[in-house]
Amino acid sequence: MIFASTLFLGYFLPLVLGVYYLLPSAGKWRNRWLLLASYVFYGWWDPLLLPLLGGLTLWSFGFAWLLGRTDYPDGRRRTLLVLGVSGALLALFFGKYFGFACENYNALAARWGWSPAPAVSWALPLGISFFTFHAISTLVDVYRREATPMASFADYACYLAFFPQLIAGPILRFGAMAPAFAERRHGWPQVSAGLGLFCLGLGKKVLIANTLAPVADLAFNARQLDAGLAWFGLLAYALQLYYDFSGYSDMAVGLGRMFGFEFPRNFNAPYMAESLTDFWRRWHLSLSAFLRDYLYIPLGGNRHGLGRTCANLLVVMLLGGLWHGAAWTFVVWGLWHGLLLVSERWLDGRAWYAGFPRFFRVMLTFGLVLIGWVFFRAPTLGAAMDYLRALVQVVPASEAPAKLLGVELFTLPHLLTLVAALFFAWSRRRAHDWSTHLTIRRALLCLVLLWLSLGVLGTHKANPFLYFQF
Amino acid sequence: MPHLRSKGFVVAALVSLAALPVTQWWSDHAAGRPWTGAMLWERLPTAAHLRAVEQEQQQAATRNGYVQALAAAPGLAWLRGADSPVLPVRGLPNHAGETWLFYRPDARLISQRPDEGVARRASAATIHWRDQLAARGIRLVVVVAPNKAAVQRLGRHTTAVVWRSPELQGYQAALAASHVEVVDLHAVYAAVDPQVSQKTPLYLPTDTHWSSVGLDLAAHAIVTRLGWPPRAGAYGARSVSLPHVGDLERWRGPTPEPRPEVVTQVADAQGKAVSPRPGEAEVLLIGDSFSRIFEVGDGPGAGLRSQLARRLGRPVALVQQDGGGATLVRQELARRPEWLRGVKVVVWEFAERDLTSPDAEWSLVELPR
Repeated sequence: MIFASTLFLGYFLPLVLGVYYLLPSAGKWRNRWLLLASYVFYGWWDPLLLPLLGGLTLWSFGFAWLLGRTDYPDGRRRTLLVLGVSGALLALFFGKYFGFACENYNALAARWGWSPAPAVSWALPLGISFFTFHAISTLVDVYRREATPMASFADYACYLAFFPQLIAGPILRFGAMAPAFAERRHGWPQVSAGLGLFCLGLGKKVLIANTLAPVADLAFNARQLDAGLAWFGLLAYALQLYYDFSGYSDMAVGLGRMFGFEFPRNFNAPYMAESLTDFWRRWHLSLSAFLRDYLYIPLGGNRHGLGRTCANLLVVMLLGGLWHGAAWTFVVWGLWHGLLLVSERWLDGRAWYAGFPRFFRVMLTFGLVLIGWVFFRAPTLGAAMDYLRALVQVVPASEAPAKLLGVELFTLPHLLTLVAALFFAWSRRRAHDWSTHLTIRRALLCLVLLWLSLGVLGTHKANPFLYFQF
Repeated sequence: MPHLRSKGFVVAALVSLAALPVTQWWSDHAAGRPWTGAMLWERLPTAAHLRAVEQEQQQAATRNGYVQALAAAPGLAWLRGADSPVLPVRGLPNHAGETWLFYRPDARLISQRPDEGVARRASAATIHWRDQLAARGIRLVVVVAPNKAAVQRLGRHTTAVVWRSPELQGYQAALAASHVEVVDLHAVYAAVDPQVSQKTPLYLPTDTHWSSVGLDLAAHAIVTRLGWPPRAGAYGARSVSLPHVGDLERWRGPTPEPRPEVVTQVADAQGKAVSPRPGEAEVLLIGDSFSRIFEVGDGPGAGLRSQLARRLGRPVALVQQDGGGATLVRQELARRPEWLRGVKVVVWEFAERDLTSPDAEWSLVELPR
């Protein structure tokens, strides 16, 4: 079940929201209901995945409880932290990276004459990248005494499985979210602000991202490309990814608001960034914050000189790339961003083009991000290199495959959607803030977006969100 | 007042959402169908069952009047035009004022990277089929009907007038290596002067199939390949103009406009169309809708079979299945081996899309001994 489907919109959401507000606000009934709804939501993908989620919940709850004890010496607490985090990482490794590791080992084994590993593969358990991070956040925050473990197992299970953020974030820090499970504010303003943001997110996903999706898909799977086609496809992908993921995040934050939670914003006009450092302060903020707080700073951050800072940055970005997917393309994407961040760190935190006028700073940063998206989107490194070559192929491709691709890509709906998407991506309005004060005009706009999205969804098959694969 | 605004918005949004299941139930009830939501409880909630419920729910929305009313919002259909299976193209060379229609999945078989395994399976199945027929003393001639988008020039600067995909080339090379007889229609169409082919198109503007010109060129190439001396006077031919509605035109809109098409109608001395049943002619044509157009149903004996008969001066039998040129027609023959009695040559036509589409089925078909 995805947010942008008739099943979620017509059945699941009205039912869960309706029952939630019928339950008494005092006591734990509402949290219990959200827990039940979240397990139904997750189990809908595959009921056999529920033990994985339940097992990780039990594991991290138990270790958090032990870490929260005040009578344990530091050494024992550190051992418990290592054990607890290792368990969560092991679940992530087997769920997401085991097949990739075997594949690479077997490639080496074939070359060096080692005995091969058994060929095993299974579907990626949905949302595992996110709920394992939530479990790690719990253990680290409790270990650092920045939060106390939740007393109620059901409340903790609800935090880990809470359906708005379960599949694709935002990544919520345990320390920041735990108090809301004990007490939070409900009311019409919260629900209307949540619904407003949800409608905006739905519109972003259904009307913009889904319209641009075929453009990107066709370009990245083309037999022949020239520079015009390749740049058009790449631009479409960059905007599809942004509207898809930020649309999902808006819906998640909006759903959180409807149930009284205030999630942090996940995007802040990333394509207006003026440097790569600035980009990572605007793109997938919850992941950036997680990597900074739980990886970069423990590695030493910027406290041990320039060389160590740069090494830490590279490690964080490489692992951040790998977190997005078990493939070398994501590693190279992370490395690309890591090297660019290192280069900026080397220049005292400024991009080499920092002296240019703002328009050029934004354009150059956007261009560098676009190059990175080629690795992010291409199925293999070879395909990524082919695509990069096409970006500089100025002689127009003239054979039937390229001509047909041009006929499909350069249509008025695609062009207008692309222009509108660029306009909104570079505008100063932020959906997160815009929706907190709904005027009549804004409310009407949200309703129109909702109706249009329902119209599109009702006539076409649902498209899953891009970040589900991570 | 702000509170009232919030309440009003929340109620309006939730009513809009909750109207989905209510109107769905109503439309199911009115149509005498069981409520789609009830499907959930029919079986244990396995992943497969839950996916089926989800798909059915999504499908049900396409029958829901409320959703359809929302979908009819101005501009929405236009925005989602890329979902249509019909790809309209304006401004083709020598057809500046016209809109030509292409079948989008066919166009994508050319513009997109293919499933490379399909052509390999196709060549294995073709060689196996040739061997099966050869064991009965029957000669096989393979004819791949080119994809319309591979033949029709799309722009002034298109260098290759006929696009030969690597899969097609690989398939033809594999067949040549195994001495399977192939009529290379791509080469035939490529040899036509582009100026001529643009004035008298080889394909129909609003249909996925070839025109009477294109199919007659195919018949000529097949007859040349067979190398049989023609028998004069067996069949006569006359040009007639027919109102024709292209398949793409039909898919595109509810009220398609027929276009006049000039075709060559073939008949014997008594004025009867060529119509021997399978098993009653030495030449058997098997194929898909390319063998059907202007021949069966909407046609008056002016399709590929009739043109073959006219040029050979002898009857040609036909077994055809729309969309089933690759395997279904062969399976049909395997079920009815009596149709091969007395046959000397099987001309096997199938669409080029069968060499690249991941949906193409290429089974090894055994003829009964």
